[in-house]
Amino acid sequence: MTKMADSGSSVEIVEGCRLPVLRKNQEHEDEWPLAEILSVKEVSGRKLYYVHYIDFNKRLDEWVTADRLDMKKLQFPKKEAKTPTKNGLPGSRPSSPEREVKRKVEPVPLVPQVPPAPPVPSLPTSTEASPAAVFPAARETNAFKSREDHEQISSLTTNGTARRLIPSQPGRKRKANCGPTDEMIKVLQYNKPQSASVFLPPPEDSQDSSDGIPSAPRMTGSLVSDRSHDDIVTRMKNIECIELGRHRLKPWYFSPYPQELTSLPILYLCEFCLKYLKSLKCLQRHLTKCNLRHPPGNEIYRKGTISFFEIDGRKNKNYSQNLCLLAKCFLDHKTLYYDTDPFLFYVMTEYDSKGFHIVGYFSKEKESTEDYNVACILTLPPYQRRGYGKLLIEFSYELSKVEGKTGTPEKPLSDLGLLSYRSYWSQTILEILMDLKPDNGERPQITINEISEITSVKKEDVISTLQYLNLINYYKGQYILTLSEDIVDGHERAMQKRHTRIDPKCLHFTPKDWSKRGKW
Amino acid sequence: MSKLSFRARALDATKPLPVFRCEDLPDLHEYASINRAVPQMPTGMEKEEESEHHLQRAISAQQVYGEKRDNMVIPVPEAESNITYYESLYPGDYKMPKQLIHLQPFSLDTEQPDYDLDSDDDVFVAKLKKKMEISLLQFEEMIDRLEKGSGQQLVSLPEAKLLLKEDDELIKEVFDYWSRKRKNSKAHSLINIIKQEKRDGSSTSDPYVAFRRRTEKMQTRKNRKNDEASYEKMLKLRRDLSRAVTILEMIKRREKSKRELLHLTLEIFEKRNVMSDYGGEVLAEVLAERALVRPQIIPLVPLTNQYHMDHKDYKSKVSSEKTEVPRQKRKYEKKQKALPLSISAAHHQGPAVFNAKDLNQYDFPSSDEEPQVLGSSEAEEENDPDGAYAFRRKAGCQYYAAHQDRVGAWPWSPGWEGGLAHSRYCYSLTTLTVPRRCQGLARRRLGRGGRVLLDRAHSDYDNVFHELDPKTLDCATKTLDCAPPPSGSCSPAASKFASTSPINTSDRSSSSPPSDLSQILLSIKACRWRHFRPRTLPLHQLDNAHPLFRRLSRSIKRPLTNIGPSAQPLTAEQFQQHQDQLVQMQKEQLEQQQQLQANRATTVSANTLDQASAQFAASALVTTEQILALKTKEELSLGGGVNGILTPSGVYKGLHLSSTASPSLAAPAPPATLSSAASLHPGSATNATPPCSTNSNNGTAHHAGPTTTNATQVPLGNSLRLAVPAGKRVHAPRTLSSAMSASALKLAHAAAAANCQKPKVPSSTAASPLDIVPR
Repeated sequence: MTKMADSGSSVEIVEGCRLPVLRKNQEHEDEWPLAEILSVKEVSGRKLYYVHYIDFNKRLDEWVTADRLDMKKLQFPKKEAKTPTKNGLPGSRPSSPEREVKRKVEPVPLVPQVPPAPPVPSLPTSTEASPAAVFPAARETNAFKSREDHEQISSLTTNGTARRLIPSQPGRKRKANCGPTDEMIKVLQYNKPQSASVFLPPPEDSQDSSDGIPSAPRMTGSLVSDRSHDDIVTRMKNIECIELGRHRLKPWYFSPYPQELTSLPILYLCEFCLKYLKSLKCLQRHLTKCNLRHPPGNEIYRKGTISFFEIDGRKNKNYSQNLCLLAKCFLDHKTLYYDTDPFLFYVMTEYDSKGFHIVGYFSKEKESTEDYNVACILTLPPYQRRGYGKLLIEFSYELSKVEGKTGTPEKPLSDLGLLSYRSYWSQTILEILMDLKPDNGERPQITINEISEITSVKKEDVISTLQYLNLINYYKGQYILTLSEDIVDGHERAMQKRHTRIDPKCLHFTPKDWSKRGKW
Repeated sequence: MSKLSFRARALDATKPLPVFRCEDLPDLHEYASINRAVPQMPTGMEKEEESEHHLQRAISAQQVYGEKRDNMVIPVPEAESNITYYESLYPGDYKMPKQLIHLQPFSLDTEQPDYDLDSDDDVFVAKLKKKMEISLLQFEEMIDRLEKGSGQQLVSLPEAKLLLKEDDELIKEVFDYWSRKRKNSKAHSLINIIKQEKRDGSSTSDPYVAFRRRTEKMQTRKNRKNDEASYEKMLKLRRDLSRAVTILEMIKRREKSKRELLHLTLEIFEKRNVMSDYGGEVLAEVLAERALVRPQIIPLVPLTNQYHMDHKDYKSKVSSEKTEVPRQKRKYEKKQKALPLSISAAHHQGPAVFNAKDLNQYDFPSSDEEPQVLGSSEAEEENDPDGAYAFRRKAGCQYYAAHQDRVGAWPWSPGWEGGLAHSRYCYSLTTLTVPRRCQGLARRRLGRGGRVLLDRAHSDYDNVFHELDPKTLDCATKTLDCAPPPSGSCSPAASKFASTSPINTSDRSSSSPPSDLSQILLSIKACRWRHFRPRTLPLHQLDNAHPLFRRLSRSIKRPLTNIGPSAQPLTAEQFQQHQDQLVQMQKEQLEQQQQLQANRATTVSANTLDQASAQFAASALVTTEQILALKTKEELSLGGGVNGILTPSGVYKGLHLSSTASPSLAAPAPPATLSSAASLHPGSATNATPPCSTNSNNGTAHHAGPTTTNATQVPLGNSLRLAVPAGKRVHAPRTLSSAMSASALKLAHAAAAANCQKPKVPSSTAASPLDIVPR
């Protein structure tokens, strides 16, 4: 389709193209997973390509040089926009030089061709799952691609000012897991002038409210699962590096730090108030004025060097927002659409002579309608895989115990979130089951509700964990729980690694009844 | 068997699940086929992501190995933790507090500028430092202000000068630098902030806009009802706000008046000092003149309205001239001719006597405890049904709750009335300080607000009592509030009165033979007689009395020394004028009296008397009284309010004197004439006629001249005589006879006021009429 004899490459690689890209795996071996080009930019004469490895998490997306691309296997975006395909990640192309060309060539953007089955087993599902249509095709820079899918036609208004996509419905599998509230997130209207060039003949959409005001996401919760309003901007990491205290973090996802700061090689954060600064000089100046040595909240837990601070998102907006911006770098589904007022933030810190250093945090809605006891939860990358995540989770359930409620984390979970929670749930439940003593000669027994009450883990999570561990068996007319040797051994080994635990005695926490306090 | 139960029941969360070890159930695998009965729970992840390669790998690794394998974990972008300058960047001297950290509210609000200086700024400041003094922080503050002062448009240099406190040169430098930097910057602000949402809603999808407010979007179109309600609320808000403005305006005026008052008082004080008017004589005189003017309007002007002025005057004891003058004018307009009494010099007002209270007057009531006074008497009247009689808190007073349980059980009431018959309050000999004379038998009562009232009783010894020399009594009773005498030692007369009920006293049949004066004196000295003498109260104690009374009482507060030639004499012309009018009036009165006598039984409306006639009536009364005073120098000098004691006023509850005097006789003055027969008692009339002490005639001697006075003299004389028996009655003045019509009160008031205004009338004279003032 669009070929441009351009700067030496015989084939112009445009957004939407797919091709194997070289990357190192964890064993530092080369591998060539299939990737999609999301964006192209030129830095000092060299082209850089932003690639998303199909079937890998977005956090591994990166800018690569041309030499890492396997041009031989290049697949162009499919012209016949038929059924969409793999575009779970449709829609994202930033401006590319050949936009004009393309425009001439094809008035209607194409949906990329379905790639051959990716090496990953999961491919089929993903294909199916992605209702490409939902993505707005219009990006600010190049308006061309829009993809629609059969089941649902994304509607774009031709005038280009607004195009609205309807989230939808049957085609969208990703919603399957989400609670009902998730479903109704409306697609936002894209109001960018540039999109005027979009030529998607949109069927006029009837679904949206007639007044043309785009609807906003729901106001509860902190996560968004409907990515239909994702655009290319939010699909790409925008911050290269964050310096926080002694750490340099490579963000995983987009975060709406002020746009003028996104071009910096390093964004500097004050370790204690999390203020973002554009240079080391600024940070130094800031540190002369910032006297915080701990998160600006009340310390509600301390044992050893581990402390938890509670911060009210309404009372301490600055910190809460800074924390959210930082957290967004590592949480794909987190939304910062609305203010932080309805949340409490529990920041876990580790103390040393420089102060209380943030290790991770979780946020929590002051009033949750869906039994959520955690909204977002994050262990900062430098502290990951060291048990802090479990500590955070454990703490969140300790709070629920004090409140006398069961709770569950807000959905959707991330991959790491799922693993962590499963692991926590498994260990917690197994701990209980293994501690059960025979009751005067009888088999020890326990109900699911009892487990839930003891642990504050919501009943559904208990069941799913039991299931996942394959403990539930139907035996002689009744359900029983069975503990295999493997399970028992595995559990004992895992528990040995949990040297740090939350000590309920060190928790000084009084739940507040936020419903009685007016608006948070 | 397993087939039978293929359809497993749903998992019941409330049902106990036995826990087995697998090794205990060797046959478990036989049942494995039906395990799928438990529905698969969703993972909670997005499907797409759930299928991601690394996650699946990790999950299966975990299931295979039972734990995570390092090479099977989900890969994440790396983080480094080797920032070399970290140690130097953050100080390492932080000590962990022993207690859990509790954030103090507002402790985060530091005044530090949000702007942080960058390297360019550093260079600039370094350069600037060579020329002038500036610190980094100072620079940051300036930039911070400039940034925050700029909205869409940048701050201009003049604005910057207003904004910044530095000197102009520095401002200029920094401003120029800032403008340049700002222009070169792509960013919206030099202080990097998160993009804010735009009001027009165009930013709903801007990914860089974050933390939008959660307010519901305006949906005016959807509920118009809401619109209406809010519109009304806005209206109400506006009303309330404008009311607040009005109130503030009034407060401003009030405070201004207070300041003026302060200045005036100061001026008066200085003037007095210059004049050496240390005793307050000059002042008193001036006051008396003022008093001449003021009460004249009382009868016809709405009471509350008038009262407001008085009340206010009273509060400060000095009424502003402003308020005074218009009143005068009003009066004169009506009269069509200037009264001789209006002497321009009379308007100067000031405290009668400079005393402690006067100092206190600067303890102005704070704004909230005093309702606005100025310019709103109308309004206040509406809110204040009690009008002039409404209770008003006085600064510096302590108030006690009413004794609800003790109503009527007064300490002075005799036992059969449910009273306590406290010995302190039984009838006893009473001597007042001014006039310094023994008044005969009287008992004290506590009136409203702690005023002490004296009920007088008549006894056959009265004559004797009056002749008692207070001086001798003085030495007899040093204790002012005499201690209870030895029981049983009361003289017959005293004991009789001590327990008198009014009913008893009314029949005087058992009058004991008059005793010898010296005998009585002896008895007193020996404390066989109770004898009461008030403490010498400071004059200002009167202030505690009822407002109306207080106002009038001001004129009495003049010391006795005041009377004399120094008082402002009337000019002959004025006097003549006045007398002419009096003649006229009296003729009318006589006519009316005759009329009245004709139908005495019928109540005559007081309204027939207009203001003018009332005034004249009042003057007539005074005149005649004075004449009378010349002739009858004696008796009935009632201690005025001077002592903080009210003389009894006429009416005893339920015991109207219907017999002793006909109203017409008793009331030579129009007030009495006009009032209904039942309502105005001789007693009151009597009280209204102040007995003059001998020295009172200094300035009034020539009043005797007019022939016309003769006509009134007779009835007046009668009334006085008749009044004496009335005095025998035990009065319970507190009870305002319901029969007393308002008009009668007003007239009585007028009469009293008329008395007061006579500059020549000794204060004691003026004092008694005050008692008539309605309580």
